[in-house]
Amino acid sequence: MTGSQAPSVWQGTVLVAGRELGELRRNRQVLFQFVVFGTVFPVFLALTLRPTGGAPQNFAFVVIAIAPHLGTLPAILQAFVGERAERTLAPLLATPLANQSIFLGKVLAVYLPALCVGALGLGIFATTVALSPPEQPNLPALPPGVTPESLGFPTVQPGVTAAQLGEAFALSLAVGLAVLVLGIVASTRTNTVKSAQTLAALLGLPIYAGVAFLSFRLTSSPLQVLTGALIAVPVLLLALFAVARKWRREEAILGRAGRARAG
Amino acid sequence: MATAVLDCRSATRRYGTRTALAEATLTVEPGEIVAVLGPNGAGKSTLVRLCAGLIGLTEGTVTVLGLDVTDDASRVREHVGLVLGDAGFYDAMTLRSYLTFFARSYGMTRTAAAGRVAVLLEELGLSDRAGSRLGSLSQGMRQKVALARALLHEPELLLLDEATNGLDPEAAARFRAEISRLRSDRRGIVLCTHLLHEADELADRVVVLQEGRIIAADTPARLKQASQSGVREVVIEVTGGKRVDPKDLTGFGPKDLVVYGSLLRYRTADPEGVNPQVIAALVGAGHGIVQVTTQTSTLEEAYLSLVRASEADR
Repeated sequence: MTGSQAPSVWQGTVLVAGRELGELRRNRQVLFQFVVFGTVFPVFLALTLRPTGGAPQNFAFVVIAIAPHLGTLPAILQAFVGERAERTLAPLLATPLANQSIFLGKVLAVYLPALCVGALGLGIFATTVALSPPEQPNLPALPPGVTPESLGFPTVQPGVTAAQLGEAFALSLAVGLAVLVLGIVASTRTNTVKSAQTLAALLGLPIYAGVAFLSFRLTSSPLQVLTGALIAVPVLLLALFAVARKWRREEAILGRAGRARAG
Repeated sequence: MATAVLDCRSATRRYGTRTALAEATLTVEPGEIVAVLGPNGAGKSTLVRLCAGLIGLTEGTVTVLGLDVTDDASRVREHVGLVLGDAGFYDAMTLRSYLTFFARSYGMTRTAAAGRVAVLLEELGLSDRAGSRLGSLSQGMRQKVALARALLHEPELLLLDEATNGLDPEAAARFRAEISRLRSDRRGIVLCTHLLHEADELADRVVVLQEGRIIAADTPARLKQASQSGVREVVIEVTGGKRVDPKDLTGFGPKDLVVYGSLLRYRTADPEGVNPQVIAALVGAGHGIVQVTTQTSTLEEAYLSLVRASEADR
């Protein structure tokens, strides 16, 4: 044999993730979402909402930190059920790569870019807000020499605190993992991308509802949100690794319904 | 004695209540090409998937070079190359990056992978398309790519499942030539196919599967011989002499003798005994013998008779 030994789990993971990233790079739908949510939207929201806290700012955080993950759902479904439907999975599974390498490589190639885009978007949002001019109170024209401050109306310098950014990033971690688990569960229960999308849309309703709820709770109860996210992340990570350990080549090749008709 | 490249013992695979493969026992020795024939749903693909370690056994054992596919699946895959006729490709990747990716999945370094890919591209005549996207290649070229992928790690066992499906006759012939070239002292090849002439041309042994069971396993020559134990048709072309009267020849045993101008056709269960007597009589009558054709059984006939007999037994 020309080859030496099969790559280690981590080498294999990096190899598979590299290939999947190449696919992601060619996925215009996901790329478009990454550009929009990572750069355009944060600047737009920072300039239009002029955030000084409260609901509009929460909305901006949620959209910027979480939306990239929601947009990657089709890529997750393609990586699992899509490859099975297009019959590209069998040659990959015929290699000595470990099950965990294939699984984690596919998962990380979708999760990490979305996480980075979320973080980038939050950074751009915070920077744009910090560079914005102070917000003037909405007062009628004042006589010369009279300032709003002298009348008891202080100007407000919009800003984003580190705590807010931390909360938003923790949410991004948790929601990203939840979307991954959702995509994988939908992939293992179906045999076509279309049916997986339908199932994911149905199973995803609690996630979307949770996101909407969090957009109102984010700064009103930051400790709760942060605590919730910090509990959710390890729980979801454990769930992901449990699925990785249970993930079998046979199931990946045949699918559930495929078992019955394999010949 | 060298270890068998592939050794299946009572390999059984069930999907729920349906048995896809039942107690299949089969060995493939180094340097041997074994063709697996059978109708759709006979269990050919299941056998290949089991041997490649893609699916598990319900009962029995399968070893590749002595390594158990259940216990040592990852090491088994280091020694197995797999070509599936219906497998897809990463169409957006270039041929070179696709093969490099798979080479590295077998543990090759970047440099070793690049070298091995270059050699295979050259051997298979794909060098000039190395930068092309897989989606732009013809079906024949894609099958060559699949073969190159399966050979990256120089496997001792090559599994080909309907590998010439969808190829035009010329591409299929070229593909068969490649398979024939790949026969080596240390490599065993399992060839699952519907194309009986392909099996006849390439295989040292043929295994016939029917509803998950092996109903025959022998050399193509012996299978053909076994199937032609009945009556065979003989055609003799003659020149000159007086008109042939069928009645003059029936005494030697040919049945259904018919004369069409210069052609005689008859059937006999004993061509070795009957033909010389008929020829002697024709020569005696002043005829010249242009040619004698005794119909030999083809692998297709042997296969069909085996499958029909198996169906009749059930």
